[in-house]
Amino acid sequence: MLTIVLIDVILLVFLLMLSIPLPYCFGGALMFMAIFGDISMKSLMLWGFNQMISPILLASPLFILAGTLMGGTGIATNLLDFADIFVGRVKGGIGVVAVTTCAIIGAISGSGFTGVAATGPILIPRMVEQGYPRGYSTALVTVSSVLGLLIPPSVIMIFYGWVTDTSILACFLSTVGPGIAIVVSFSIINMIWARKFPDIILEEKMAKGERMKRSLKRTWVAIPALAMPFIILGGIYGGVFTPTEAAAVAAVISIPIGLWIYKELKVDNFKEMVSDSATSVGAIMTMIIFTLMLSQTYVLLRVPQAIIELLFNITQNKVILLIIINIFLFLVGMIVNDVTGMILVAPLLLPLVLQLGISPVHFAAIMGVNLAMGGVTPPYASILYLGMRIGKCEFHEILKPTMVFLILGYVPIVFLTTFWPALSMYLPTLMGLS
Amino acid sequence: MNTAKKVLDRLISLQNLVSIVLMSVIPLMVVFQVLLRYVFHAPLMGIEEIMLFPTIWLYMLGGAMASQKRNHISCGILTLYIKKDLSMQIFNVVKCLVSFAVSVWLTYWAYWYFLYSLKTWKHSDLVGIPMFLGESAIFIGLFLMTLYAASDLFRDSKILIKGRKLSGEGDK
Repeated sequence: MLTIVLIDVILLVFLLMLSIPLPYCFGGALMFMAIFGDISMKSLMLWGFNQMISPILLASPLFILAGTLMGGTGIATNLLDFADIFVGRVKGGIGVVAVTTCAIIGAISGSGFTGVAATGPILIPRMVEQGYPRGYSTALVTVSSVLGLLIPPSVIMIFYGWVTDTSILACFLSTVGPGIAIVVSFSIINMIWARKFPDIILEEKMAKGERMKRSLKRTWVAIPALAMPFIILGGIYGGVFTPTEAAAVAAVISIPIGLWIYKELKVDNFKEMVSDSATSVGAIMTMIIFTLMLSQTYVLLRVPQAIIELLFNITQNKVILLIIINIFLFLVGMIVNDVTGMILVAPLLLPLVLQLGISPVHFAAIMGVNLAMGGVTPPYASILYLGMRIGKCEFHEILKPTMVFLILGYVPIVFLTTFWPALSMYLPTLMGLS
Repeated sequence: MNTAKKVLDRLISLQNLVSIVLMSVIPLMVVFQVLLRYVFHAPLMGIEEIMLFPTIWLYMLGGAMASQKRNHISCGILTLYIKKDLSMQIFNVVKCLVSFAVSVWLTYWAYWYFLYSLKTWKHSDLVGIPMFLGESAIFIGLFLMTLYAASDLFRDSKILIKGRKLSGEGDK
């Protein structure tokens, strides 16, 4: 039976390489398993519908809507202007603004796309104007957008909690430590690298009073935007909202902010944004349901147990096994998107990591940091491709800076998350959630 | 042909409109429940259950919209290496053919589920709404996805045939 599963995985990779839409790739692999793997489609259909109507799942579409509305209502622009107050006159300061803004936007939208889609059109041209190379600017904004998947609320953590039956709040908190570590490492690399750019133009020096006046004005204007993460995170951790309710509140609140405060939301673009969100929701949810059904066929055929046996036959050394898991997750991230990777792989690997004595919450962080990186590592690098489109730059321009940020700034945090549990477990333990 | 196009255009407009309404209504329902709980201290029993129905329709109609707009996520590795127009046209037809075949198979099973739901006619636990009203969305959504997959296959095949004819005329 494992031969069938192996052929099915090869077929899946082949369909993915053919650029077939993801729901059909997973549908095709499912079709193969139903025909050759002795899987009952009738029971799988009944099981699939029950999974689909899970209220937990609803958080994801609502965060997609909130993220889209945020991008079109001026919230991102005002967050940028606010962050610029502190580092506007420092060499490399705008790079730090990029990293922190993407982290804050991540705390509202829960996705990696929103960061690059909302801040890229404003930040990249601004960085280029200040003398930063276009490839560098695009790479920095793009890799920083990955923080949207790590800073809570994070959509991939909702899916992890859902498929592994782990506390979603604990999963959210597990990636905060790694997320902050990435903010710091990217900021340091940026500050060092920015010194090498000879043409950087810094903001003109202002009189103290004038500067203070401008800072106060920007802070005042940014208050509604800054209130969003507080409402969402405060609501969730204060026990006021569930993650689903927080996402709905964020989406609904962004409407008056966009209409009456920032005045960038109009009826026509509102309709367009809602329609775009509905399309994204459909694309993601249809993909999820077939991925989940395929993953269930593997579970039914005892693939997780086979993986455990296989890996334990190779080695019983925990460190080596964790390195193998990291490499495997990195490869998964390279060929499928974060949500798919999470739903497909989490149920398969969880029994193995439990045998290694790793807590499901710690594993949430390990999976999160690995799969989030997949968004910027080709061939499946959706966030990177979007960044290139927004930044109007070629692959060869963005490749080197992206690799530098990933290898020097991101990969060490992946290993730190894996081998230093306190980084991800401190907050969940503090809140009594682990 | 014009009538078919008109019907398809109307279907797309209706699908777009319903999706916009659903996408707007769902967050409002969630916020309404939050308000009832905290402001009026009277949470409405069963609102989560009612919400299942628009949600499932949103998922499936959104999926159909993504098919119609060709907005489904795909990996796109091989397309980076195909340079010739003709190779790309053949590649697109193969891609559409595989998508269509898989979609037909999935729709077949969704139809089985549709009939099963109709036969069993279950009701939701709290409010007693027939589950068929939600479960039927799977078949309708997948049927629409198959329709758009067929339309893509037709369009790409036409481009391929037209392209080959033109290149044949060019050779002459």
